[in-house]
Amino acid sequence: MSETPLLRVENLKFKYQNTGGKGSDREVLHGLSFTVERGEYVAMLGHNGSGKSTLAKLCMMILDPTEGHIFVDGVDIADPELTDAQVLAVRKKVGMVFQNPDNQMVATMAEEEVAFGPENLGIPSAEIRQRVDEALKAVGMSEYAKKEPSRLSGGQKQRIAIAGILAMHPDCIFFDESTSMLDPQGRKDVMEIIDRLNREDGVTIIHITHDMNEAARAKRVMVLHEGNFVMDGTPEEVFAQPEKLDACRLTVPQCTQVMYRLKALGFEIGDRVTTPEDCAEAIRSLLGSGEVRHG
Amino acid sequence: MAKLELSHVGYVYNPGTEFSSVALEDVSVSFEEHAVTGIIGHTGSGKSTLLQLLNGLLKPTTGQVLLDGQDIHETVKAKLAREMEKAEAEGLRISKRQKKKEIRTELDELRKTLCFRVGLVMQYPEYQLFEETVRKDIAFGPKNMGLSEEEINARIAKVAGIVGLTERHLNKSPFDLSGGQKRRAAIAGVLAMEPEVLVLDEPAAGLDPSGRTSIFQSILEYRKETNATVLIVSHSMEDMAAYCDRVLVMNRGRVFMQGSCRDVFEQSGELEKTGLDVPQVTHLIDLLRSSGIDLPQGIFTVDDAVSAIASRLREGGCS
Amino acid sequence: MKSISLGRYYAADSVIHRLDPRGKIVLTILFIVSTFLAKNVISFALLILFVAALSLLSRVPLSLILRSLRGVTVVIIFAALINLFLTNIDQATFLVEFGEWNGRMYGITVEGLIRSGCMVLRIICLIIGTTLLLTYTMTPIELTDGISNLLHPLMKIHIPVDLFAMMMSIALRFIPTLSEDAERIMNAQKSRGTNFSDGGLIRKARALIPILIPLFVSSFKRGEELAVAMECRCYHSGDDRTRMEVLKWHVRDTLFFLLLIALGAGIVLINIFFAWIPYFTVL
Repeated sequence: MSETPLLRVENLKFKYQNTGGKGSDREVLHGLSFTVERGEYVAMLGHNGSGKSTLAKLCMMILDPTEGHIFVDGVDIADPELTDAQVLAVRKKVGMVFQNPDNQMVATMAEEEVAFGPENLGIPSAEIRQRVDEALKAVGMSEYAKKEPSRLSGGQKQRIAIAGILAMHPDCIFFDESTSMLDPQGRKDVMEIIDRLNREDGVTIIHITHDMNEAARAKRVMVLHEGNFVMDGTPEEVFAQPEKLDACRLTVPQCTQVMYRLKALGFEIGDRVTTPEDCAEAIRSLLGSGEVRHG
Repeated sequence: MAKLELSHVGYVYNPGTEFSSVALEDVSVSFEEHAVTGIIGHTGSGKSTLLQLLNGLLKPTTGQVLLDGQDIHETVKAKLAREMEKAEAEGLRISKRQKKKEIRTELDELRKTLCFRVGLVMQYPEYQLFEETVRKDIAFGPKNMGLSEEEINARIAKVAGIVGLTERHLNKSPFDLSGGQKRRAAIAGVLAMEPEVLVLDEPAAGLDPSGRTSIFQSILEYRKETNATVLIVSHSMEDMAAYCDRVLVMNRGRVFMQGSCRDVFEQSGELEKTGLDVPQVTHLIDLLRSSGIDLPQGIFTVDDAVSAIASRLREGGCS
Repeated sequence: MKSISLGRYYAADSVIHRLDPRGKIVLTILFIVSTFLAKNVISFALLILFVAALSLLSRVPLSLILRSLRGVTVVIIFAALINLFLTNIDQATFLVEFGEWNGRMYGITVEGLIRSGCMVLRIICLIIGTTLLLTYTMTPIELTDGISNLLHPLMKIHIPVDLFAMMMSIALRFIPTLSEDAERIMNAQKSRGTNFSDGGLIRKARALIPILIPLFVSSFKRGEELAVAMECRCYHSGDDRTRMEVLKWHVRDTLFFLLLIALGAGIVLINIFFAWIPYFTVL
C-alpha cells in the first residue's frame, strides 16, 4: 500500500520581492523537490542564509511559494483557494518550534502557554486541560505548570514551547534552530525530547540546525546550499564527505574527522561513523585485528 | 604580572531584600597578560556577573577587581592612606594635599577610561547597533573616548579589516546587514576602542560553523595586532580547545577549575560531574582509555587525537 | 535584576484567591463605593472589620499588606494634615490654638483630630482592600480575563474585546522581557562609553538615543516573530476559540457578593439611623 507522504515538495521556488525598488528580487530557493514520509527524522543542514528557515516558513504557510507545490498529507498548501478551515487543518498537523524561546510565548503562565494552541482549535475545556497536563509531562515540565515563562531558563522555555505544539497533537514538528540559543544543558534536554518524540511517538521531525553533532542524531540528513539540496542521505553517508560539507560552509563531527583523517593516513578503517561510541568501537576492532594486542 | 585580577570577589544581587541572591562567592582569578582565557560554566554559574564586574558595570559586594594591580573601585581616601604609609616607610616627605589631588585625578581618569581599557562585547551584540551607517556605529565608542576624526577613521579602517567588513558594508545601514555581518560590525565597534583587555560573552552564539570560525579568527587577529589580553565565554568546548590558552571553569558562583586546556580537559570526569561537556575527541580518547588502550590523557584537538591514535595503531601493527 | 513583578501577585491558596475574577472586579467597585459612604465611627468600625476579615482570609502576610501602603504614605500624611488643621466647624473644641487669621481661629481641634483619623483610616482601608482584591490575590492575567469577560457583551456591538484582552495579555507577558532587553542594551552602550548621568537635560536625552533605537528594533523583531509563531499555532480571532480555564461562578462568590452588599447597605443605614453621631464629610 502506498501511503500519501506527509510532506511532498515539488519544484519549489521562492523569491523575496524587493520592495525598495532598487536591485532585483532575490531568489533563495531554486526549485526544491523532496519527500518526507510519516515518522521520519530529518536534519536539515545549511549555513546562515542558505534558505532553511524560508523553507520552513513556506511549509507553515507563512510565506507563499513563487513557484511549485507543497503537499502536506496530500493537500496542496500553495493553492490560493484554500479555505480558512483547511489552512487551520494543515497548521494543526504541522507544528513549529522557533529559535528564540522568548519570541514565541504569548501567556504569562506556563500552562496557559501550552493551552494556547488547543484553545485556538476550539477544543472543549476539559480536553484542553488533559492535553496540557499530558504535554507538560511529556517534556518533563509538570512542576512548572504555574510558573511565569520569564522565570524559566532558556531550555525550560523551549520545552514549554514544545509542549505547546504537542498539545495540538501534530503529525510533524519543525524545529527551526530551536537549540541554537540554549546552553549545553538546555540543548541536551531539548535534543532528548526531540529524539524521544520520534522514537516513541512516531512524530515526524524536521530539525533545522547547523550543529553537526545534533544533525548526526537524525536518521536522514539533508544539506541545503544556496537554495538547492546538495546532499541527502543517512548521517553516515553525508558526514563521510567532509570536503563537500566544507564547501557548503559546514563541518563534520570531530569523531568523523578523526576517522576520515585516520583513513587518509592509510588505516583500514570505515569513515561512516558519527558518534564517539561507534568511533571508539571501530578503533578497538582495528586494534584487535592487529598482530599485537593491548589491554 | 597579571593584567586583570579578581581578589576574593563576591557579588550579591539585591542585597538585603527578599530577592537577594548570591551570584559570586570568594572568586579569586588572575588573567595573564596576552593570554586567551576561556570561561565556561552553566547558565547561572556567575559567568555573566563576572564579566560585568570586569569593566565596572557592576561593583563587587566584597573583594577587589585589579587592573594592572590597581583596584578599580579604590576610594581616594584608601589610596591616599596607602601611599602616605608607603612614603613614610621609605622616609619620603610629601604634601598630603598635593598627593590627594593627584590621586583624585588619577582615579577619576581610571574610572572614566575603564570601559575603553576593558572592552566588553555582550551576548548578541548586534542588538546594540543604532547608527545610520555601520561606519558611524563603529565610531560611537571612539567618539566617546574623545579621539580625533583622523584617529577614528584610521581605527575604523583597521578594525573593519580585522573583522572582514568592506567599504561597501561600512556605508550601509547596520540593519541591512546579514546576521553574521551585524555581529561582526558590533564587535568592530568594541575593537575600535582598542581595549587592552577584550572580554567577549559567547561571541559566536547562533552562528553557523564558518561564521564561528571567522569570528574567532578576528579575535585572534586583534590580539596579535594589539597584544591584548582576551577573555571569551563560550559553551562550545571544541571552540575553547581550539582557540584558548587557558580555561576557567565556573560553577555555582565559585571557581571550579582553572588552568591550561590540557590541565582542565584532563579532568574530564570532574567536568562531567558538574554537567559540563568535554570536546568530543576528549570523550573519544576517554572511551578508548577506559577499554584499556594506552593513550595519553588530556587530548583535546582533532590533530592530537589523530596522531596519538595513529601511533597507537602503528604500534599495534595495523598499518 | 529580575525583581520586577508586575501587580505583585502573592501566590497562595485562599478563599479570596479562588473567588471569581469577574466577581472580584465588581466587588472592588462596590467596596470603593462603600468606603466613601462611610461617614461615622460605627460605619468605619464596620469597614475596618471587613478589611481585617479580608486580610485574614486572603492569607497574605501582614508585612506585605502593610507594604502596599508605603507608596501612598505621602498622600496619607497630606490628607491627615489637611484635615487636622483645616477642619472648619462652628463651635469646634480647640485643644491647641495657633491664632486668628481672617476672622477665623486656627489650631488643633477635637473634631479635626477625629476627622483626620477617619480620613487616614478611609485611605488605608481603600488601599488595603483594593490591593488585596485586585493585585495580591489576582494575577494580571485573571484581571484581564475578568475584565474581558465582563465586557464580553460589547462584542455584540462589534467592539473586539477579545483582541484587546489578547493585547493586554501579551503586553503583560513582554514587560519582563523588554525590561531585560533595555538593561542589556544599556549595559552594552555603557560599555562603549555612553554616560547617562553627566551633562544637562539635552545631553541626557541624547544619551537615550543609543538605547531607544536598538530597543525599538528588537521589540519590532520580537513582535514580528511572535505574530508568526501565533499564526503557526492557529491563532485567529473570532468566537470559536475556547479556553482551558472557564470562569465558574461558585456559591462562595455569591456569598461574598451578598456580604459586600450587606456592608454597603449597613453603612448607608448607619449613616441614616445614627445621624446624631458627629458627621464627618470629606472636604
